[in-house]
Amino acid sequence: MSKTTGKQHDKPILWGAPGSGYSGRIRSYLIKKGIPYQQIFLGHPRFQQEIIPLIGYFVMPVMELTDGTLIQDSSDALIHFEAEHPEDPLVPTSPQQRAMAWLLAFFGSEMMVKTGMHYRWTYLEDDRPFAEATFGHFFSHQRDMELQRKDVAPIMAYFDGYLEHLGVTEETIPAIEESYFALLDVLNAHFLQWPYLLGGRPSPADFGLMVLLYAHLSRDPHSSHEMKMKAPQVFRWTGRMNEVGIDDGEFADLPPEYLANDALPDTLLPVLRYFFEDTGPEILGMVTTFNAWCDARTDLKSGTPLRTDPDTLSAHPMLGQFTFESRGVTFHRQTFVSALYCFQRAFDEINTLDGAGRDRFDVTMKETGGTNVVSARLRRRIRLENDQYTIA
Amino acid sequence: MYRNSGMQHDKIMLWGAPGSLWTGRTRAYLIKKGIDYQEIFPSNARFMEEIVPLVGYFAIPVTELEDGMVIQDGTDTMVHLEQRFPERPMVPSSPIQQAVSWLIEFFGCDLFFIPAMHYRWNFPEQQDFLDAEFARSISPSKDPKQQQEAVAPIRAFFAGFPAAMRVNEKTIPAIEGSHIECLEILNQHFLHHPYLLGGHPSLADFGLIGPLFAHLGRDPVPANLMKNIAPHVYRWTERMFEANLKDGEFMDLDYEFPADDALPETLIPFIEYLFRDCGPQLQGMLDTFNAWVAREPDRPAGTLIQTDPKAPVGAHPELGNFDFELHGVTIHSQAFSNVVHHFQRVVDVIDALDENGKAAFDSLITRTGGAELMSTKLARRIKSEHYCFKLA
Repeated sequence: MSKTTGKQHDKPILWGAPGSGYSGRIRSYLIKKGIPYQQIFLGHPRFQQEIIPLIGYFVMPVMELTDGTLIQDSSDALIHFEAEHPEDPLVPTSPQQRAMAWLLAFFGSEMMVKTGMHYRWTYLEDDRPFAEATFGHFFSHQRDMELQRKDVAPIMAYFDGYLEHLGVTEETIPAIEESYFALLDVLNAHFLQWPYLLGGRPSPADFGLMVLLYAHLSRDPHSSHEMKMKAPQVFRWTGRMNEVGIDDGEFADLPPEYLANDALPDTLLPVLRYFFEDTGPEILGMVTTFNAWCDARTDLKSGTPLRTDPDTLSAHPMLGQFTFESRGVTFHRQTFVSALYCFQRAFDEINTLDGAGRDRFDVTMKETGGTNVVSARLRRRIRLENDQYTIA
Repeated sequence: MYRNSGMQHDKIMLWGAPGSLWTGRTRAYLIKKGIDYQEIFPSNARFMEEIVPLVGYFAIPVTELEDGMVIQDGTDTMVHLEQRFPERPMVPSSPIQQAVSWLIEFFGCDLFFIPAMHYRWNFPEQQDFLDAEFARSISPSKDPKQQQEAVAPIRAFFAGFPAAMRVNEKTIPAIEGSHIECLEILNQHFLHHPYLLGGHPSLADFGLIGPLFAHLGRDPVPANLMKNIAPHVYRWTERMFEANLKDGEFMDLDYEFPADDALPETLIPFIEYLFRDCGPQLQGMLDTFNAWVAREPDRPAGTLIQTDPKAPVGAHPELGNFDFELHGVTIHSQAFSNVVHHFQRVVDVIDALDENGKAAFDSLITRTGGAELMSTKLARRIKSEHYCFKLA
C-alpha cells in the first residue's frame, strides 16, 4: 500500500528542514541510530513536483527510502527503521519503559503543539529575518533574500491563522507560557542528572519531545533565549540529541542503557505529573470529541475518512472544536486526528501491558496522577493508510 | 613532541565542551572528516589527574588519540589527522585556495577574541546560562549549589577580560559595529555557498567556527543577534556540525572546491574585512614579538616565548601589551606567542607555494589590503614543543 517515487538512492532521503518540528524527531533518530541519510530541504523542486503530488498534501518531513518508498508519519518512519535495523535498539524492550517511551512521545509531539506554535508565531515580528530564512528552507529555492521573502509571504500568512485552531489567543497566552515554564523547570531538573528521558539511552520519548522543543522552542530566537536562560540543561539536551553517538561527554561514566529492572529515573516522575496535570483535560476533551463524532454516525464503516471536510486532504485533519480548562483559563481548540492517532499508538503499548509490567505502570500512574487519562478509550480504531486517516 | 597518556581507546577522545571556543574547531573537523570520536568533558576526573599534568596547564580542547598520544593545539590535531587520513582532504591542493584556507583558519581562530569575549562576558543577563555551561564543563557535581561554588572562580577570572582589553562604553560601538559588519558580509556569502571556499568545507571553516559557534552563535545574546542579522551564518554554524557532506539547501552544488583554483566572489569582501578590521591587531602582536626579540637578540634556542620567564606556562603565553585602532577607537590588547606561531605557520604555507601560486596570492592580498601585514617578517623562528612555544 506504500507509495513510491520509483527512484533509487544510495541513502534514505529526509525531506525536511532545520526549522520543521517533526523533521527534528526523525533527524535526531537517524543520527542517534547511526543511519546515514541525506537531508534535502523542501524548497528543492523535486519536493513540489514529485513528493507532494504522491502524498496528496503539503507536509514535512517525508522520508524517501533507498527504493523510493515514501513514509509520511515520522513515528512510522522510526518504527520502520527500528525493524530494518534491530541491532542497538532505541526503543526499550522492558514493558513499563516501553509504554512510557511512547506515552511521552505522544505528550511531546502532540500536546506541546500549542506551545510551539504560540512561540513561533506570537513573537514572529521580533525575529522576522530569522523566520523568513527558516521558511525559505521550506518553500523557496531562491538564492536572493528579496525573492525568498516573496516565496514565503503567502505561507507565513496562512500559518498565522492556525493559532486559533489550537486555542492560542490573547486570553490563553499567559496560561500557555506559565505552563511551559513549569515544564522547563521539571525537565531542567531531570536533564541535570540524566542525558536522556529514560536514563542513559535515547528512546521515542526523547525523539517525540524534540518535535517542538528543538525547532520551535530551542532554535527560534525568542524562545531559544527563554530556554537558554530558564533551562540550560534542556537546551543542552536539544544539542545532544543532534550529536552522533549515545555516550555524552558530560556523563562519561554512565552506561548507554535504560535503567535496570524496568525502572524509571526519579526525576522523570515530575515530568509525567506535569503532562497529566497540564494536558490531561485537553487529552480527555479530544477523546470525548472523537467518540461523540463516532457516536453521531450510526453504521460507521471501516474506511470512512476522518475529517469534517471530505474534500480537503491535509496532514492535520480536524474533527471539531471542544472546550477545556487549564491553569484556570478556558481554551477552545480543534480536535486533530493526527494527535489521536499518536495517542492510539501510545495506548496500544499501554494496553498490552500485563503482569509485573502492568503493576509497575499502574503504580507510576497513581503516583503521577495519570490513572484517569490512561483509562480513556477511543470508540473506534484509527488507521493511517495512503497518507489518509480513516476509521479502521 | 607530544606526550602520551599510556591509555588505549577504541576511538579518538576529544576533551572539550559545548561552550568552549576552540573545541568547536576540532569537533567540526572530526565530524566533517568522518572520523569516529568521543567527546568527553573536563569535568571527568581523568582530565585533571592525567591530561593536565601531561600538557602542563589547563586548556581545552585536547585530543587524545587511540594510542594515548595527547595533542593540545587544534591546528596540530588537524594537520596530524590530515596526514593520517588523506582521503576527503580538508586542505585544498591548489595554491590560492590552500593559502586562503590557512589564512582564514588563522584569522578565525586567533583574531576574533575581542568580539567573542565582549559578547560572552559583557551581558549580565546571560550569566545563569554561562554558569550552567561552565559547571557542565568543569564540575563533576550535579548539585546546583556545589556547581555554583565550582564556577565562581572561573567567572571572576574571565569577567576581568573585557576591562583589561579596554572594552568599555567608548570602544563597544566600534567592536559591535565591526562584528555586525562581519555578519552582514558573511550572510551574503552563505546565502550562496555552504562553506567558505564554496561547496566543500576546509580549514577556513574550522578556524572560523570556533568563535562563531560557541561564543557568537550559541551564547544567548550574540546568538540572537546572529540569527536575525545573519540567518545564513547561523545556518552555517549548524551545518558545520552535521555529518551530511552535501547540505540539504545546496543539493545542486558539487561537493568539491571550485575548479581552477577560483575563490567565490562573495569571499573577497570577507578577506578585505579580515585585513581591515583584524589586521591591525595582528600587526600589533607581530610587532610586539619582534620588539621582544630585539630587546635581547641573543636568547638561546629553546627560550620560552613569554615576557615573564617564570610565569606558569599556558596555552596563550603573554608577550606584552599594545594598542591598535578599530573603527577610529583605540583598543588595548595582549600579544600572545601562540598567535605569532600560528602566523608563522601560515607564512610557511605561502612561502612553499610555487612561483605562479605565490604571484597569484600576492596579487590577491594586494587587492584585499593585506600586502603590508603579510610581508611582516618574524625576527626569530618559533617552535612548538611539548605544548610550549620556544625560540627555534
